[in-house]
Amino acid sequence: MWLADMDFPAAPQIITTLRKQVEHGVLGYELPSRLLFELIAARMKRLYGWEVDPEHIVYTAGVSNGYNIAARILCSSGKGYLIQTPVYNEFLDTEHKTGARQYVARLAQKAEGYRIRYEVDFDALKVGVKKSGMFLLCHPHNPVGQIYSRADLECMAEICIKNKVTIVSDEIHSELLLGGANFTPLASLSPEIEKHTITLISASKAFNVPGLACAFAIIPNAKLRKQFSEIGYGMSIEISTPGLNSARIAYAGKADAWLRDLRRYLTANRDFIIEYVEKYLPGVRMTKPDATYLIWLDCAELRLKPSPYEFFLKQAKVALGDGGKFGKGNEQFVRLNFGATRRVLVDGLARMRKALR
Amino acid sequence: MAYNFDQIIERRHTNSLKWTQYPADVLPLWVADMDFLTPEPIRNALHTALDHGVLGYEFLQRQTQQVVAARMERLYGWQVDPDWVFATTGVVSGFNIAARTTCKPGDGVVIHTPAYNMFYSLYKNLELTQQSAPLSLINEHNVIHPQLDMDGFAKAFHSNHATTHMFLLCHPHNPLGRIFTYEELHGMAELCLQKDVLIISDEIHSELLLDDAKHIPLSALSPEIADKSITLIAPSKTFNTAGLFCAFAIIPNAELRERYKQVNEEITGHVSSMGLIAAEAAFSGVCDDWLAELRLYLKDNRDFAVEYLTENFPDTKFTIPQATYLQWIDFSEYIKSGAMDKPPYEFFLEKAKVALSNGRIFGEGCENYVRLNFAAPRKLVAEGLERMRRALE
Repeated sequence: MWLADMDFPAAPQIITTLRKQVEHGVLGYELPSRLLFELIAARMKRLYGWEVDPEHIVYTAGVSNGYNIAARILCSSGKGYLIQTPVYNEFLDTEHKTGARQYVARLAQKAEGYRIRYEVDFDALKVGVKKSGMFLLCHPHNPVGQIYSRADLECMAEICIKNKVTIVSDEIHSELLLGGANFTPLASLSPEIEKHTITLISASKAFNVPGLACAFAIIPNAKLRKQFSEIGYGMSIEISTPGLNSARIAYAGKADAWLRDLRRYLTANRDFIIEYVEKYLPGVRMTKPDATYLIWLDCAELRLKPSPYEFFLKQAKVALGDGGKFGKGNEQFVRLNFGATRRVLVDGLARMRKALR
Repeated sequence: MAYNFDQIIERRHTNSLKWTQYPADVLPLWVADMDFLTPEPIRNALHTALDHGVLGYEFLQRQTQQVVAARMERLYGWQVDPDWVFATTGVVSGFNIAARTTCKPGDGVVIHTPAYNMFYSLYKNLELTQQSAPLSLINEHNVIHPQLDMDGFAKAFHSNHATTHMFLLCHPHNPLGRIFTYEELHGMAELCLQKDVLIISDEIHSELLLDDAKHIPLSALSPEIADKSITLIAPSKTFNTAGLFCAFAIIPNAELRERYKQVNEEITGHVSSMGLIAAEAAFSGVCDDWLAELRLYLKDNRDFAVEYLTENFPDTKFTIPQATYLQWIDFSEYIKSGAMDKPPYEFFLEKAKVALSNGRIFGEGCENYVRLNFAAPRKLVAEGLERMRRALE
């Protein structure tokens, strides 16, 4: 229950399309079609009322590939990039992968009984942007599963724009909404914010096709877009046709009924875990994610040795995401991936409970 | 024949690069993929993955590395340790990554010219210095015999005011279809060892052999040469899976392997799971009877093109490729005589409605050449040549 892919089959509409491609049987070179970019733009409009010009969309091999490219552009003149921890380990690894210096504005944890929430530390953000060329935002946030409020987004964007910092908003989890949660892309807030933002999206998480390695960057700023394409070309980014085809089906909305069911299932999984942890794993505090299939468990009170990750791996035979990989100071956390069948989930939680006895 | 390569498969409704780049009345005989079905065992392997349906993150499996190593041993008697095998999205990304392990801006990279167009992009991508070693094109009647000019090759090193750090070899050669011999490979490799130059051998066309000429992987020559080289192979040309983007780099040198791995991570390269699945099936040997027939079909297509050109385009000169499904055709005489009022690529696109690869992209001075891709049902190749003939009437 660690790596962020789901144990479910990909959406059946995607499988059917890939099947047709294999049945057609000539698996030669393909380029992303104009239609694909139009479908992406249409989906942004339909879901968020956000007008995206199809010409502003560039393909990449994954969102991590996207912010890797962005860092190479935006941090080239000795500037660093700013992240908010805890955060997805690739955000951290971008430092050694690109040579851009990393600055951290930690999210502030707020506890209320067994629940934890995180708040933006605007003061830390204001300090961090001074040295940065890029603010790498994770929205919805991985691992804490929060969707930032409009006010928070506007405030973060304002700080960045004032300091001439470009925002790279990783919105890969934006379609995995739980309960009644709503999502607003950062760039859709205003034309001014849009101009200073690179939005990264992918069908990979919501429709469970991460193995096909395909994502998109929406870059309204023409100069930035050109640089982004050039660097991507220089890295010889190549997207497989199954990746392009799966994106086409997903963005056309053909798997939306499936996605609705998936969200319901994941929401029920989330609620089940919260109830279970409260009842049977005393001392563990947790987030209540608005999005993603990831829940962030704070095990500090349990004082597990050598770390909660190692403890559950050895004593419970459950592999969770190691909190230590999400930034310094998170060693007492684990990330649990509930993109799995209820049965597997129950089994995993029961093992953890037993190990804690 | 058990396989029907004559079957014409409609590709215009797909996003095929080959079939959608030009208007519908243009017959495309350009970009290097084939208008044939990918062999059935590969399609079955993909179907099995789709039946399972979970398309999550996947990484190169030990089993795939072993399959690649075993194929090298079986085909060439080359002993490859499975640990040497890396997956990469394509040979283009392979030589780009290789260059990043070894070259810094300004450094020289030697290539033979004419060259596969993507070789040139390397210089731009990494700000490297181009060091060209032209292959000699010896004409005998209508036939072009590409020859390695060893003196010219040696002179390319450290030319253009730059130190050579890498030699990027295309073997068999695209667009000339030439397989380098043991002696030639040995001569080139020895020179590189002397000058401490890393060799990247792009062997993507190595299994598309049309005659009796055998392919020898450069790295198979000796452990010393293997230690200084990276071999790039892929199932994509041979088994027509270019759209799945999966290739392999074979790197015997441990330190180089570590650097390659690191650079690949730095640029976040990621091979699709479907590409890995197809590659394993392709290299496992289950498609080899298909491949044997494909080669015969391609050889017949080549011979057909040679005969057609000889009869109908008496003033052309052309290669008779030993490997690949690509033919290099010289139309200079038609330009000289005024029979063609513009370079052949433009001429045939406009007047014959046939899209060939523009010679210009393969190097300086190649604008009067085109590259013909004959990996299509005979009927389409014949129609293309027929259209070209009529355009010249």
